Amino acid sequence: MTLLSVDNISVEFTTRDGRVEPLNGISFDLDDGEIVGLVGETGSGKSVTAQAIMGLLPFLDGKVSQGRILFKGNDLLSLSEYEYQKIRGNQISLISQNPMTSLDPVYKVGDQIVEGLRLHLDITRSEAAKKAVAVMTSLGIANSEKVFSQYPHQLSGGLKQRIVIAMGLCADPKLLIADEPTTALDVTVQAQIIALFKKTIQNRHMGMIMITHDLGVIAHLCDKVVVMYAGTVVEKGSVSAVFNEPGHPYTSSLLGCIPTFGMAQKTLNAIPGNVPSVRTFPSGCRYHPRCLKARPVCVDHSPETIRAPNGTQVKCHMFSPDWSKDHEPVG
Amino acid sequence: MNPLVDVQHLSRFFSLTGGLLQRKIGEIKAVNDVSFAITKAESLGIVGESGCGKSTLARLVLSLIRPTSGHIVFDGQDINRMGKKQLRTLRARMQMVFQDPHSSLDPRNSIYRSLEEVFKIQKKNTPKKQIIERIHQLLGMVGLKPEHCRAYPHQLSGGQKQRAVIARALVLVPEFMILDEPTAALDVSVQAQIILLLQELGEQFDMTYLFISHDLALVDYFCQRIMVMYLGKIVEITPSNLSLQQPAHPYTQLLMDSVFAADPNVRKIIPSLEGEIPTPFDLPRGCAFENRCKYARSICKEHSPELLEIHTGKFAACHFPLI
Repeated sequence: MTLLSVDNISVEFTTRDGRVEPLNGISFDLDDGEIVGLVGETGSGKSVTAQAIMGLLPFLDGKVSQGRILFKGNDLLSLSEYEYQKIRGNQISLISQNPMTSLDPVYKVGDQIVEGLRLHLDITRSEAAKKAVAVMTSLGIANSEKVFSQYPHQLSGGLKQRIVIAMGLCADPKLLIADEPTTALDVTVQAQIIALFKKTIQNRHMGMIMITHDLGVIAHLCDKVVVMYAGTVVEKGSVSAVFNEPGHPYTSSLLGCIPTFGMAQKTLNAIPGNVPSVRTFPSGCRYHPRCLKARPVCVDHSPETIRAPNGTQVKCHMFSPDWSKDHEPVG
Repeated sequence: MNPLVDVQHLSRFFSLTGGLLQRKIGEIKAVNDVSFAITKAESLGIVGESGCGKSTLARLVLSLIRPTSGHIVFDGQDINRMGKKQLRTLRARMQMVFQDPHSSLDPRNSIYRSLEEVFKIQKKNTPKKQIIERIHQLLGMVGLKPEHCRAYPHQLSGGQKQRAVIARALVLVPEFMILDEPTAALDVSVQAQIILLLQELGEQFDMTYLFISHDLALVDYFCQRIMVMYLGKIVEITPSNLSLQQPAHPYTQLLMDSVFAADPNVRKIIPSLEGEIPTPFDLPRGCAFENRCKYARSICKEHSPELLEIHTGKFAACHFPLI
């Protein structure tokens, strides 16, 4: 069953320099028990997507300008702030990148989990404490009763991130959004946390959106992947299709950028140019200035999203029937 | 052939003070009896997790901080015995590129002024016209345009800033460069550009690199030899191209297993880890990796293993190496 359906949303921010549009026409679906990866570089709009789903866009100057976000069939954008608060943290949880900014340094970690629990569930403090310890134990925290009454600075980075995950999971949400949850961690700890996510999502049969710039994490953890570039979705599909036969030129170039074991003899495949910032998104296809296959049509017209031969949804002129030979490559 | 950089039994301990009288209550052994050598035109990688001492080691090699004990010999000269003046001349031959290009550049200086400063510090009295020519040439070398001279750091992207930092490091034509996580703050597509640039410059100038990173796959790609550190000690030195060989130390194996390849066909089971990483303040008597190692036996608790050559060019500090 479709748990979350993000349907053609765009987000606008009003800044001192005028309006900018960090998200333009994003769509993707997520089923129960499924892990979807959002992958992209700086400024691709991954985190803004998470904020839009959570209803956490900056109140005064950011808004969803079009589209719908359906969670279990209900449009989240039509909710009042009060109704949103009942869903946020209860049905949908967010885990952010740096565990230290999610935890208050002057409160014991256990009390911080209990606070969230009692906000959403009608239970006593001691019941909440019991539940918190149980969730902490299920996340592989050894002697969780001792950790319960410790302060954040007494814990290692990996342990802190486990506490933040426990905070996200303790109210039994249906959807977990993790925004770069392992970027601040060491590789061996990252591997542990990723394994933990995988196990937890399977056991609880919930949905998860994994936001990361690390294609390795996506390949290992996710069922589906949404590749974002400069505020648009350039390709989406099953992980095996996107990684094995990438359709969009950006996806295949990005995969060529990553060093892997056994490529010491080969050379890396850099993408020329820079990641555009939100104020200077190019015209037409936003990837065209860096694309090796770009033609005049890419400069002027934004491509439609269509089905590529590999089965993924691709936003590229290359797969349209009009991509005829009389268009000469740019430059 | 004599090595360009020869590090012998290098240690650096930081003392930890506490209490009302700020008495010394302990020592952090950031770098603990480390020896290695880098030959000319070689790139040696240092890999390890946070707190393993890799950045302290880099600072020691450049004599930015003084060692507690041990020697660093650069091209036959012991750099810790040098006076200030000698050291300044020597520093022209060794340069460092840091992780965050933004904090490496003075926000109030244009790129031109940041590069020009190097000539002034070295007191070379180069005529201005030559300086301008040289700076334009350097910017071209790292893939920037002459008009970037007038730009201020905030006007450049992260990749462009790192290029400017590399250009500045090249001003004095160094023989030896330390790269401390030079791409950790950059996007993957830009990381690839910078890595290719560094490889190209390395070939062009016969550059010797010491490349520090937490990314084992990247180091494996960039370097000829890899040195793995754990809590201030070297646990393994191995030729690169790890896909073709079995690592000797269980920690290297763990690091390799923790790298996710961007390939859904090789999903692996992650071994669950027992034990926390000990703090460098409270090191165990035996092997530091003993409490996380699945091959550990009683001797590992008692005696710290020596770094021994187990194959030609392959060193490991382990009582029971995997090969």
